Amino acid sequence: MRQIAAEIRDFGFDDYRVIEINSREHQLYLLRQKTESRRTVESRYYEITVYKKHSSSGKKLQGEYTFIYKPDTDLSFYLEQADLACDLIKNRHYALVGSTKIAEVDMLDPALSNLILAGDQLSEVIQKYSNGPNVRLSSAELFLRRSEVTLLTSTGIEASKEKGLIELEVSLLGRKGKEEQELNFHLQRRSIGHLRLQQRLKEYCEHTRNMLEVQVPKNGKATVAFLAPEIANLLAPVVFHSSGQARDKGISRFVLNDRINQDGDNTFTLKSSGLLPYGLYSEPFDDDGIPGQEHTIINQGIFKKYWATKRYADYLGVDPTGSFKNVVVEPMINTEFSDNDYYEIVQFSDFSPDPITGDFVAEIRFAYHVRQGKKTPIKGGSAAGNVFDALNDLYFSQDTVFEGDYLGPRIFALRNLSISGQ
Amino acid sequence: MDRTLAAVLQDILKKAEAKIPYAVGTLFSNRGIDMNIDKKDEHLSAVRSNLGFVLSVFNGEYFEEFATDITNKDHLAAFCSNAIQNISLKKTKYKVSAPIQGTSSFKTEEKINPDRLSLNEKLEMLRHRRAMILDGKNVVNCRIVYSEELRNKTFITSAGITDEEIRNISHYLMIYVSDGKQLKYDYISTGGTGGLELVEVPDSQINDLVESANRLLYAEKIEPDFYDIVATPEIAGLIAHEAFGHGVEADMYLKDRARSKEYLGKVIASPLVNIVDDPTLPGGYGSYFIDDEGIPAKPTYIIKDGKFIQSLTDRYASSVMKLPATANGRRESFARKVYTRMSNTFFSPGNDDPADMIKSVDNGIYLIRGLSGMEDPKGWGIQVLVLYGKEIKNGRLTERIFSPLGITGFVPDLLKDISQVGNDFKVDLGICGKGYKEYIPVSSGGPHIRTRVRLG
Repeated sequence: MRQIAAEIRDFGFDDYRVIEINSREHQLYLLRQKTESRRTVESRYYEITVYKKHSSSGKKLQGEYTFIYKPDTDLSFYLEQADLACDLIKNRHYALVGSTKIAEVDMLDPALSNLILAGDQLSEVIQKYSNGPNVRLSSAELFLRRSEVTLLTSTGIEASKEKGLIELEVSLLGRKGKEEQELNFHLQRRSIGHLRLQQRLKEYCEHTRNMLEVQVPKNGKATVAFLAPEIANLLAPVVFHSSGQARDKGISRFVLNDRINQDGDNTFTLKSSGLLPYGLYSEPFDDDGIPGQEHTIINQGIFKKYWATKRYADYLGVDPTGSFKNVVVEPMINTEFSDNDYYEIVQFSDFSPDPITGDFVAEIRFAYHVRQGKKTPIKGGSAAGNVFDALNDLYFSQDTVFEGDYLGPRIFALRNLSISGQ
Repeated sequence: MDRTLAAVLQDILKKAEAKIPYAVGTLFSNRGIDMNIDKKDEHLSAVRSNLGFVLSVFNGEYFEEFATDITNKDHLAAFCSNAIQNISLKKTKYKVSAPIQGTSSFKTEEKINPDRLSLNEKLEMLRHRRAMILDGKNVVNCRIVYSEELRNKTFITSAGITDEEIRNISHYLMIYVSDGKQLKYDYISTGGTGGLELVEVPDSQINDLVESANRLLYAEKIEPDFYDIVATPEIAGLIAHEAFGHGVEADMYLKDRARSKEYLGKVIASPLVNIVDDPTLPGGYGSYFIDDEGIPAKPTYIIKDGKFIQSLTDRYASSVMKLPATANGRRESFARKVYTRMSNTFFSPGNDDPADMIKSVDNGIYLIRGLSGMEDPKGWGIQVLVLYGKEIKNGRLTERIFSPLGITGFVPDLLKDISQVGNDFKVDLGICGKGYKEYIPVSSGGPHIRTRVRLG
């Protein structure tokens, strides 16, 4: 790594950032109760950004270029291209982070010391708990990865971290007579315990069985309860508009110290946390060298702080927080959720609210229509609305759950969404 | 690829074949540039490197793969020898078809080689387009992206070496407008496999983009219901790809995850409907010469005159299910597995003039700009998101515009309700995932189509 840094310096760049990533991954694919495929992947590469200073009319400017360098290729080829690009680009200057303090946060589950063994143990759990009355396992994919990351900058930062990742996708099939249904789930976690695999499989077997009795929802307006796995997606437009980058580009709708929702009894505090143990976006330090931290972005419904990488923090003249990490929500409940008629969404086909407008339309892959405590399985049709409008009539459950990149209430309920069905 | 290295690897594969039924190696590499500019900043970077090697071995029961991005000769030779030594042969359950034989080489045709323009000239092209956009009414910012990537693949068997070189080019212009109360956006994208001829954008198209983004400031929400629609080739492509194409990927048949398996050989669409997946489509963003398992590319006619006649396969799925092999085994990178994937998927053109199709609708919606879609092969449900559509009243487009829109429903219903197919044809580039991952370049499109769908 030091040799790479020396070559960059010799080429005449003013600054650099080199990130070395060494990883090993085991991939296991199950087809019903058998193996469909096995793969191992080893990888070593360097993500390099180089900078060149310019000035114009007394203003400090800089050129920059990023590339991936893999050993056994020609580094000078990339540096020549970088040199040319840095001469053409004259962006506003920002300073690299000068030093870092490494935060202490768990990122590597010791169980991932043997990836193959951990994969085989997880596959046994999947095979054992993915079956039951009218339900069987269709297929599963497991990816287990261990990585070492080292950051070296021209400003003197040299720091390393180790992290692990487990990613899995399980597909279950339900069958009763001629009726067949499928339900799958996709999970990413840093620790095997946080998968809650056995419990989750039992829950999804139950959902799959219930899918065999589904009805189509009716057209109209309704309250929709979003469960924890979708809440981070639901809040994506809020996270986008609270970024220093959106502010700098002139497209943020939020104003510091203003309310994010104008009406409604309930609101929330939103934090970006890089310190949740085994959080998917937790980091001892990030790519800029900013240590893992927790920041309150929205405090009791009032927008308090832009989150910003070093670049946008310098552009805006604020302290850098680093990129947005895990979503932490602390609800401010004045009126409890007491609706007796609502849809509880288990899964949308794809739920990706437009980060800019906040609009969303999502097909209901599986849900329950809850009426007076009775649950009717629902599939088909869609739920539509606007995240920012919906925040004006918002309710939470009292319990708190952790879902990899989210810590907060298990349910966000939004009133008056548009349901398209029969 | 370095022929000395290829010879060493071929020698290892020959020895492996004495022990196991199938062993092939694939080396991937790429180079290119990404350019991304907006109102305030400009970013240049190299395309993300996909340099890496994968050894694929069939052990009699399933495929085992060993992948690395450490590609020097000594490491690769030791890596392959070790991997093969550790394979334990299972009782053979399936016979996989033999890999491509002989030595050959393929390369994308391009009219204007991207190297004809310097980096600075390409940047100036983007700056010109940015200046035009920022001059537009209510424009607060924009994002302009240009990417060119030369992708090389060398498929090595004991019997031969096949080289493929594909040039993918893409260009994307996104524009943000605001009236002080609302922020809206619109975009256009262009590109494919080929040269700079693919990213020519006339100034008039940029003016149209500014105008259409401004119209979105007056967009209404649609009342959820069933509507007669005319879909542009872009939306028709999303329907062909998301609603139908994913449902005929045969690796999903193996898992009992696709309902279309029950419909092979049956009529499932209006007789006007023909759907094709064609990796040989000239200029298609998803075009290639051989798939990632060494099968030579050729078109697959999936639906012919309304009848579902053939699924798409990868080598494993076609072997186990004894289906005809198609060239649709594709992987995201050396680090990921091969799955059955689409290439360029489209409705074939019909006989109707698109203008007459709009004239024939009394009360409906003209669906114009697509956003995304998600597959549901088992339920054969549809989720296609549309950025905007225009009202059709008494055969004319009105000024009313609706945004956003979601198409949902049951795929065979939508296909059976297709009552007109345009005589035009256009494909758009896209990036396709399998579920929530495994992203590869594809295109989708076709002519205008008229059908009836549920909009929300």
